[in-house]
Amino acid sequence: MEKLELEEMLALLAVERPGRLLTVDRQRDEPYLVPVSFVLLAGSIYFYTEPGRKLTALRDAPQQVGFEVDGHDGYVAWSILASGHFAEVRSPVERAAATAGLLTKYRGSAVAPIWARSDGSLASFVRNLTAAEMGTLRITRLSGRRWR
Amino acid sequence: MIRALAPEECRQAMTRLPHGRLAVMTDHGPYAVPMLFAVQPSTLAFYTLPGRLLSSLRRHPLGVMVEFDWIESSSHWVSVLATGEFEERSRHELEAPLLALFATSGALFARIAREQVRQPEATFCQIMLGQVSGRAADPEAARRL
Repeated sequence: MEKLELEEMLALLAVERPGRLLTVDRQRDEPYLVPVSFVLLAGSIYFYTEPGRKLTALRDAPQQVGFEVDGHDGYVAWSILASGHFAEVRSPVERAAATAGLLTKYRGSAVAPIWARSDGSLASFVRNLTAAEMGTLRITRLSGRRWR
Repeated sequence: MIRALAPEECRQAMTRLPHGRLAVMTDHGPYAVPMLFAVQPSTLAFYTLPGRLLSSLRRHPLGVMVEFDWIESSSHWVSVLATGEFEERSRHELEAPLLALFATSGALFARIAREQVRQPEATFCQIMLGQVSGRAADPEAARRL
């Protein structure tokens, strides 16, 4: 087992999909882990979410949020864990930049997230986006490991 | 179309996707690591070496969460979440089913796991499954895994 260097982790986070958002469900006093589509921009992980258990958990414990990504290619396996604090993205500029990043990352991908799908009309696309909340994990700690 | 999976479908998905993620509370927040599980009727067996994961599981054995997913495309995916309680078991009980799992898990995982599981400090564990739920984006997705 080897530790991943920062540059290696950032390179993997730039392309890997999906990741798993790790929160604390205060109502049940347990961790809550769900897959999400995401993009890494300027040290923060951005994702869309709709109201529900995930968003409630994020709002209840915004300082206790993690993000896990793992993968393997048959020869090397790796795992990255980020932690930090959650914030809802309200700034139109930041929201637009993150949306553009998400669209760039997932454009043409078979795993494009549900919010990026539409009936082809601009109105449908905008409706999907405005119906969801955008959240971000401001990363304060990043660690990763690799197995060969 | 997204639908909820029946309990038996969740179990089948976990059996066919033994590579999941184990999440546990720590004193500083949640912590998660990828893990290979041997899926048994009411438990998920695994091993771990001494470190943050094991110490956190011992300190917070209740309310452990496990996540499995398989994503082929935005319209073909399966996601299963399970909660449960952690407990340690003996090497005698779990080494054989885990080695059998590793033998079918691909050369990389099999080699890593075989090396680690034979280490004297390997600790054998299981999650006693409680609530299990799952969703699939295609009614046939879980059956096609």
